[in-house]
Amino acid sequence: MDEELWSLYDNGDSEIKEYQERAEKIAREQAVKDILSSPIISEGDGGVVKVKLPILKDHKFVWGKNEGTPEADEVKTGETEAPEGWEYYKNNDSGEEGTEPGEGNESHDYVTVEIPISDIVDHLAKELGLPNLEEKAVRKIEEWETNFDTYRETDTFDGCDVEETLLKNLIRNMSAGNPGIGGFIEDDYVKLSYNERQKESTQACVYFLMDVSGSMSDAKKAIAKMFFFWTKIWLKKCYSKVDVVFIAHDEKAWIETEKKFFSVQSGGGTYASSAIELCKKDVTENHPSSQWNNYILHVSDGDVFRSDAEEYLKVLLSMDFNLFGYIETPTSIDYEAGGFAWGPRNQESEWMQVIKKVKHPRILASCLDKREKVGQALKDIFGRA
Amino acid sequence: MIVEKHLRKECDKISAIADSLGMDWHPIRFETVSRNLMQKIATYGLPFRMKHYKYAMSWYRNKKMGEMGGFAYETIIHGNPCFAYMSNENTKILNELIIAHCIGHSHVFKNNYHWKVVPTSIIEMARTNLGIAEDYKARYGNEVVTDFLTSAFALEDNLDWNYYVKHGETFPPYPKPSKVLVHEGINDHFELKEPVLPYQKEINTNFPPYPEKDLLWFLATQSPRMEDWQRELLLAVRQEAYFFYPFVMTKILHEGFASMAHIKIMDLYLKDSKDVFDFALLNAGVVNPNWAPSGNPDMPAATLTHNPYWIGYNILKDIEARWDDYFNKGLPTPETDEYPSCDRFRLKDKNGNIVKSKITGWQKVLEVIKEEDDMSLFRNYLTSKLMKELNLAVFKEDKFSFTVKTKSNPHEFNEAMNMLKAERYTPQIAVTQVTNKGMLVLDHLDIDSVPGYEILLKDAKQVLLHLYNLWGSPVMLRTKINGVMSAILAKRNEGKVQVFLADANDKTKKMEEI
Repeated sequence: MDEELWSLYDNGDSEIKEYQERAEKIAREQAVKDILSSPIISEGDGGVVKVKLPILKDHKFVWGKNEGTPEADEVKTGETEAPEGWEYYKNNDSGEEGTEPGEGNESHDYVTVEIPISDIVDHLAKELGLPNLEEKAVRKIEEWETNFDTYRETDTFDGCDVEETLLKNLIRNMSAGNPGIGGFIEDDYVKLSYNERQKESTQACVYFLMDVSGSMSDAKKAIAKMFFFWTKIWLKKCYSKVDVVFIAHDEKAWIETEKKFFSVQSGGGTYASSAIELCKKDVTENHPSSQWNNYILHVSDGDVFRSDAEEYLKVLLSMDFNLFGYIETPTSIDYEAGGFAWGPRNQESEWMQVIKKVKHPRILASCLDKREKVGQALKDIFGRA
Repeated sequence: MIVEKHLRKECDKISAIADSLGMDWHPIRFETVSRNLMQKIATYGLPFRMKHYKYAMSWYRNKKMGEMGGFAYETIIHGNPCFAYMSNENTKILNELIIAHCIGHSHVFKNNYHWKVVPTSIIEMARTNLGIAEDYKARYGNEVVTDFLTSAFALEDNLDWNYYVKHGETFPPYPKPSKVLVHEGINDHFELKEPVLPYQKEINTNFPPYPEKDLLWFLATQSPRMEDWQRELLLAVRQEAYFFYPFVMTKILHEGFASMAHIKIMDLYLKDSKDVFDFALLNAGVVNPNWAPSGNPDMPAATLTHNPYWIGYNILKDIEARWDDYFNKGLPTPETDEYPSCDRFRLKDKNGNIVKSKITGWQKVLEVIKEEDDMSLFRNYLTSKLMKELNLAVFKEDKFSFTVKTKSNPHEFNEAMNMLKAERYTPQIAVTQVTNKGMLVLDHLDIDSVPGYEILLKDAKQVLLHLYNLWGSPVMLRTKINGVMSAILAKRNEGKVQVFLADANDKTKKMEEI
């Protein structure tokens, strides 16, 4: 058949388009659940975020394993040169080469879709807020609200209330004896004008502290960055006058630009108190607590000495802050990612223990051990009680 | 055979050789198309199908595969004539190989009993279905028709695979929907006021008369709440779905025989030694075991996959060699016997003379092609000797490891293969009754056939919602969930359709929404 003739029936690309539209529609519906846990590719232009979403499955009756399915010995066929009785261990380099039957190749099973940030943020804004916000001495009055809510008889034509105008026109026509709409005159138009109101807002500054030491593997950092990414997006949309300071630390701490912060790579030991000392320095110099509401978020895997953690806490308690959130990305992430893992699997770090011991109302902690829990961690820290 | 000009001479020669081998096939219409089109045909399985976004997934995947360098050399579609598509990037020797390979496929299409019941004009049918669907999209709106097709596609695997064995090619004389059912029961039931409990006693209407596995057909003909265009589309989806099931049943047989055919034909066809070398290289790229020995006895190589070309070809070759042996030397005796039971039927006649087989190996292979499918091919012809030769093994899997259970027991291999098949196929689900209130009751027929596996609840929930769309009244599925006999129920509750899970036996337990 001719190629041109064939193109009449060309389905492929149009179906991909339709498919993407559907995927986005579904994604928007479950914004927090799915998007927050999806790996973000980049922040695109025009307020969209590009995310990788698993391909929409077409649902059918299939065999599988539910949560409580009783286990049974399974047999599988294959080909091997090993003798009978040979044992291959799973997740071992010298072991099984083949993939398990029925499992798809994961790298193909994702599509990139663009989701408007506003949709996600709307959802976030309903559930989250900056707690303990205090009115400080100096206020920045920079936010303006514009509302079209004033009717004026004579004014410049800023806006027109269509419904009211049609109604007015209809009533005038009816009283003249010919019901119907039409023949507009100047008097019919209901003009709208806007009022500008000043919106008062207090100053707030949020410190992002991230551990980038050697023990923070790529998998842990990916989750940490995901958390910061969504926190930043939410803050920017909901509080336009919030300062954000990005601090990365290993043995030393330094202030990063936003762009570099989300792609920072480092290694080496961990000395957490360096970060909080830098933070304290910045607070006293640039964001004094008499004028600013200060929020501190620290993401780390908690791989520090107890002495360091206690030192950290001492510095922290000497500061005046509105909220401190400690988010731990534990080692179990590495075990699940299948990479090399430091330390025991399910054990609370010493840092976490130290922080939990201090029952300070403004010190919160959350364990972020899974991608799916980013939304939950946000709620733990910023959820309105 | 219809073929483009530059290949006509070769084609005639090759088909003459195939004729001389005693092969019998539908004429084939070859077309050379671009790589892009090849991928599209591979995505849809047919050159035309109803447009639906679900194909975007496999299209996307094939496109990626194509970018990485892998794509099909040829695609052949069953029919009379068969349609075969080959890529215009192929070399001459590859095209010749493909012609020979396609003749092998066409032979299976014409002779295998699974294929005899498939209509030979499936391409035209699919083209018509595409037209119908596009018409309805224009009339009722893209969104409406696409959503309906999504519901229909959710059930496309739930076919009655023995449909043709039971009913032949005509539609069965299925009992007409009982009048009581349609006019009184179901219509009253559309707006449910009281919740229906899955174990609540409802009067059995004895309908359908036997468990109906062909869900799409049942819904299209029996659903009380569907318009004519919807029934038409449902039957169209079903028609195309029936075309694909023999593929699943005869994959290994198909590829094995086509490989055997192209090797045999090319053996007689090629004269030039350079061509022979090129052909051998191409052939080795397809007919190979998919894995290589590691060369290190401490780290033996293994795989959980089979290459159907390789394994099919080897079994058929083994059959041919064995029957050639029986033809020349006589059938085996029990003392020397390593062969499966089917070979052992005749040893010596009354006078003590050795009985020889009446057919040669190649004739036996043609016979096998007629009668077997994948599973029966393994069951009847796999020997422990061949298993060792091909390194076939059965693995026992537990949480941490795979253990090589056996490498020489064909019986265990077949068992494992059976299980694997069941796992890959759709669970057998049938309509067992429609209650007097119009509730559709589905039963899962092969509950414990795959140890360690159940129907996946997450997907079943979605399918039940689709079923509710199609049936229009509550739908219930009885199966084992988490080791307990359960009922999954889709019904209207507080203005929207919800799915509940309940224990089928314990009446005191409450239903949970899932």
